[in-house]
Amino acid sequence: MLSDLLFRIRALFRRKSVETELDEELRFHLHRQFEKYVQSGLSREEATRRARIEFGGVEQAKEECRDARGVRILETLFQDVRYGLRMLRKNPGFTAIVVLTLGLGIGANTAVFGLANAIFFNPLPTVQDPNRLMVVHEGLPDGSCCLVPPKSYLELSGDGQLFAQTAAYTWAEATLPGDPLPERVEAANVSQNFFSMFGARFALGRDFFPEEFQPGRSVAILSYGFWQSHFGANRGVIGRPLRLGDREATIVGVVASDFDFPIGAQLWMPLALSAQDGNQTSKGQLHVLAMLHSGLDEKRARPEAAALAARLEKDYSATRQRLTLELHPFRSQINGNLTPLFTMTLMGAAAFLLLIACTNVANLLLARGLSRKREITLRTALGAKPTRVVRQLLTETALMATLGMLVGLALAKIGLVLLASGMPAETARQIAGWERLGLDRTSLLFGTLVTVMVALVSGVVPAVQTSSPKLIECLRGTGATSSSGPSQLRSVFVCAQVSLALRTCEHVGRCAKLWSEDASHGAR
Amino acid sequence: MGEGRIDLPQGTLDLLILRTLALEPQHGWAISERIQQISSDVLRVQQGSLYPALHRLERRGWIKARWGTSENNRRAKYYELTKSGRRQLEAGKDAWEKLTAAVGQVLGTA
Repeated sequence: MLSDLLFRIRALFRRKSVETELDEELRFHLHRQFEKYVQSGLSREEATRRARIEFGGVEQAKEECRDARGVRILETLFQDVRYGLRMLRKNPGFTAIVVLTLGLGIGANTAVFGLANAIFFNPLPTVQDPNRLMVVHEGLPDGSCCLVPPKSYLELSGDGQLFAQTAAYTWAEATLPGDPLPERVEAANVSQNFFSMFGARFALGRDFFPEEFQPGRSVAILSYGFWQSHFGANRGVIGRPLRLGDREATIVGVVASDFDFPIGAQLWMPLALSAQDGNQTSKGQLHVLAMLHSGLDEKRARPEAAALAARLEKDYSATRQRLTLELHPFRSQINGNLTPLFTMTLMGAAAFLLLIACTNVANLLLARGLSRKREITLRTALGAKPTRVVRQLLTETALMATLGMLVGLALAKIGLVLLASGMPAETARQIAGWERLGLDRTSLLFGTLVTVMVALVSGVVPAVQTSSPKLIECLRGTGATSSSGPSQLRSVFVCAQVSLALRTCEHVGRCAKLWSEDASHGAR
Repeated sequence: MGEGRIDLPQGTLDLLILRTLALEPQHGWAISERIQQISSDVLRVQQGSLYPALHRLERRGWIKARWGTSENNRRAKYYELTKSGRRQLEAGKDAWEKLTAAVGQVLGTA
């Protein structure tokens, strides 16, 4: 294995000396054979002739030796890339147009993906399996929803059939005695399991202990930002008292900077629930979250949720007539239920834009294929196989797509920076994942995949079309006039483009309509 | 090219090269001479096709090359069998014997 690799590396990077050695080796063979015949009494001319005949084609043997080195593919690739770069430099205008067109398409898609990834696909990166994390709403007979009374929460968290884990929180009032003015802080009372269900990690200290959920125990966990702004990131903060109005809480932990839920919370305290809370439906309505058992998803969990609601209903039918439980995927709820539609609209529009860019570029490549016909024909006439020519043309497209990707990523970066800085800080703080908006590894990977796809979609048809010219006609110089094939294809591309543009408008329009309907529904 | 010589079946050239090199390190010309002699001039080995085979075997690590001085005092590339080449030779010989035995049996009974 290793010797194979070393052999190939030498063949690739010491090509000149490998070639010289091959020359010398073959010359030695011919000379030795020649000597043998001379010694046996042949004339020098006859000896040379016989030696040559017995050896066969020297150049052919050399080619076969080069194949035997096993680096043919790479050598051809290098050759194609060098030639391709020369072609790009030769036509700077054409190159610039293609690179910019692809750059816009790739950039728009990467930026939109970056946004969707931050606020929709993965708004809370600490959650292990965001697909199974649900928001639980309780529906009442009058159609209102959504917060869950403590008694229901205790009931459904005691039922292990559907949910692997449940957690609840409420917002709470907290005031720091300040100088000169007291300061209001955003605090949340959270149940057991809350931090573990989100996979939250702690920068300092620990999660709440179970016994700290008894009434009367006063402990607090700080957010990373609060710890930095109010304690100067002092690592000795654990165990210190924190005055909150007329109460005092002991600081037991500081969460890591990537955890921010409920969004904007600066400190968390234990939510003390007792059996009596169940009867006071008015007291402390809860936001409830649940992690489904592994293997379940939203769709399959729905009937189970109905069954669970029926079980709960039986248990305390005295206090309530009808009860429904609604499950909603956490990630489409966390930033408001319009987020999925919003991100899908943007992604759809960007995808259409990219397709239009691809057909544009394909069209340009086809047109240029016509003007390169003589070059291609000449190469074919000299013995280049069609597959070889296709590879060459695809390499050129891939080079332009790569340049387009660099432009696109720069545009995406600029776009995201503008987007991030354009959002008012107050609003931005309310959007989960917003602070992670940017070109992360996933978005870069996405941009690369898009580029590969773009190179194939816009490159293959023109390359195949261009690589198979009608030899005789083209060499005679009459080829350009009888080019019905490509021009038909070009009309196909133009039609595709127009219909794609129309589809884009339709898509955006329809989404906007849905969106405004949903918004007015939500407002109601 | 004399009548009555047969072309080499695909893949057997490798085996012949390995066998030849099992005796002592040799350069390309000597290998081709040797194969010609041992096979009593029955096999027709196009001398040019020897070199791609040698380079392929070298890449696989079955033989290795070094430059030395030939019997007539010229610089020549010598090939010698490696350990894994020796193993390959044994395996190839076994396979060849099985193949010829089987083919012989079929032809004999047919």
